[in-house]
Amino acid sequence: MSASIYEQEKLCLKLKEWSDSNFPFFSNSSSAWIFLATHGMWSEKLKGEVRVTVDALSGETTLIFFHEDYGLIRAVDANPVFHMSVEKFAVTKKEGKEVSPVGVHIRMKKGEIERVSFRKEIEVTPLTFHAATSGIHRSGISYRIMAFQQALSRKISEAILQKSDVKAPYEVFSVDERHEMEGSLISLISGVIKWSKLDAKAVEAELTTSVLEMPSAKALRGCYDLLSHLLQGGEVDLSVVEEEKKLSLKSKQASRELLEYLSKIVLGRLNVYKRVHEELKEGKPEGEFSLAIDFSEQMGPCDAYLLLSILSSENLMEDCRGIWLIATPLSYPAVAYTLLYLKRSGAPDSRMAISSEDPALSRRVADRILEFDGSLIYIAAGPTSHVLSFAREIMRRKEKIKTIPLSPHFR
Amino acid sequence: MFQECPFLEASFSLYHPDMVYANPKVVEVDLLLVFNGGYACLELKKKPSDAHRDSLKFFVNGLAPQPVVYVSKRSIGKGESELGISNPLVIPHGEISFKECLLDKLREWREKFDGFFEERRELFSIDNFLCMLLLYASPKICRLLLDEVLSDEEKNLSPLIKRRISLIKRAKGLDNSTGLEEIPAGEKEKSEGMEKLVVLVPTIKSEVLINKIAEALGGLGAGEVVLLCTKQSAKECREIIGMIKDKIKSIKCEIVEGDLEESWSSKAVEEASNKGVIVTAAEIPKGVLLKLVEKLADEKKSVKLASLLPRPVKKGDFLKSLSSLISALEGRGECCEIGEREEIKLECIDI
Repeated sequence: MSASIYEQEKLCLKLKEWSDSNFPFFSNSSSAWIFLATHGMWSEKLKGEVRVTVDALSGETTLIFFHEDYGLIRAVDANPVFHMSVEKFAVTKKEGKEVSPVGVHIRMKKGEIERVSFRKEIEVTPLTFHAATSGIHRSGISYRIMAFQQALSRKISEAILQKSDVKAPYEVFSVDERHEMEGSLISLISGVIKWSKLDAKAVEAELTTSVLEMPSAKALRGCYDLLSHLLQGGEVDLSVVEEEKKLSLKSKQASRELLEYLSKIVLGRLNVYKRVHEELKEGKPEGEFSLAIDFSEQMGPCDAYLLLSILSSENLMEDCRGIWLIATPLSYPAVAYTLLYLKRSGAPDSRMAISSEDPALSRRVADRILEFDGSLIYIAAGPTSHVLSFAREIMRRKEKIKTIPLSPHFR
Repeated sequence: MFQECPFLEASFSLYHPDMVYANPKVVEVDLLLVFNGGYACLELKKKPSDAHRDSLKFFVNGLAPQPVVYVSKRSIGKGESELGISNPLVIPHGEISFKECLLDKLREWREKFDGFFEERRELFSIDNFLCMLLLYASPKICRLLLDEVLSDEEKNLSPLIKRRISLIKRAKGLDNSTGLEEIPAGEKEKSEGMEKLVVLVPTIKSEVLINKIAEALGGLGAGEVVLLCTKQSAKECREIIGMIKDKIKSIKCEIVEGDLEESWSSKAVEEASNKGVIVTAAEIPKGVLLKLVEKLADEKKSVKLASLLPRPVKKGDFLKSLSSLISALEGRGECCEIGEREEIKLECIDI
């Protein structure tokens, strides 16, 4: 078979090189990816380069990495609490006659010593790379949605606010917006294709809540068509507009059914930021304030960006003395990643706290956050029991409180 | 064998942080031993041939790097020659050189189990997260989270949390100097019974969750239950009523309309004003929750709040199996197994 047949089938994502020795949780792109892939349990960096290819015909992913990283990658893949899951591994080694270390037999048996070729390569942020290499369990789908929201963040804020002068999340990694958009869209679509193959009834029986809607047959066809279009060198122009009071995704290259589906699962939750903008516009805090933001699953750098953009548009940034990101055991890795974005984007002093569904812990976290002087704006999005105990504690002890729920208006 | 007895926990259990799975358990270890620098898992089996299939789970549960040792009544012998897969390390309990140490720890565990369980039930979500750190996290991440993210007040929240943190630091080589916090013995005072429950019921698509909510509400012994719902969640309410009406003296469903943030919260406060408890089932829209808290603060109502949360519930035969194990190790019994100590159910937790 000629090499060109292999190249036709695959798109490749690669981590954009980045490093910051000041950030405590991870200091470069590959350790950031390992951090996210292991639910924030590890942050070891890789010895070689890592890439992931997406097959345009099936949506299946192949992780390509240096053979000296084999053990680490296998360990990340094997742990049920960790999030990484790809269909195939492909192992590379340096050019020359260097013999692979012990274990070459198993790699040959699994077809992991594979020629690496692809039609197109894009550099992306660690979040998008993690999205592409995640499984399709609930957290994996959440990360795919989160990464695509991150890529669309500037377009979303323009639909809500018309303009934002805040640095977008992908900019702190010096990643081009177009590449991030394409890479995260590919990650999301490949995830949707794989998700659609699951037995829907079995999935409903296994999950008690937040079951992602399966795409329709037409939306699924749209996924394959778009992947194929991208693979053939085509580009995709995406925009976000407000239609009938809802944010909608628009593109000439994607089918209507696919756009409707993606608008629902990606933009649906973000419509709430229009309310957040209205509430902050109508009820601006007087004087200095601190901001406390609950992070639920699917919330990530896009949410932080939209909040900063809203503060900036209402000239509130200078009065913001500090930002608290309130994580839970589930959202902790995404919150740590968002903390990096805030620190590198010039946002006010930002810190992370870990709360949980346990009311006793929520109250202690409230204690810490209330140490700041000035008023407090609380963006409520965490688990029900946390919101109740946290909100009750802060309202009991502080007079100048503004609470804004991050859930859609009930009508 | 040990200069100092390692810490021991019986039926150590870990769950996925997103508890939305019908079965969220990741792993259960019969006896977890925590040392300075790591941990080991002891799995107890009645007979050695029970061990080989059971050991397969550790290849897929990410515990492979840590030692897993099986303990049985006798060693693997001729009787197991038909085993079709490799056997793990199986040691007969009569040959354990640290048996006295193990017995001391198991007796202490039996005595303090109720106190431990009560604390774990109250702080389950954060305790589970700390257990995840203990099993899976790197020393660097543990140091960052424990020393730089959690505040002193949060770390000292309870003896359970302090003990978990000390164990993590021991296992990861961070700090072996601090002693372990004592587990308080005995159960805490039971909270007062709930005469009237006012339950906020949102739209719930999962039949599994509806059943769990009904089971939880039916088991609270309430005299009166009012289910507050929207038009969209009325069907869920009817299903719940159908499942528990025989257990509750008075149960009804009220549909709220209009501006639901205002009407749902107002109705809840109104219904609960006379010795009622407002209970949230599943995830309630945050606007409703904030309105509820505002109303309770404005009207200075001392209405209790509670939530149905996934919590560990004791399994009835665990302490009995623990006693049998202790007897076997003392040479007075045959059984060398231990049951699971807990399962996850929805429980009503005071806010």
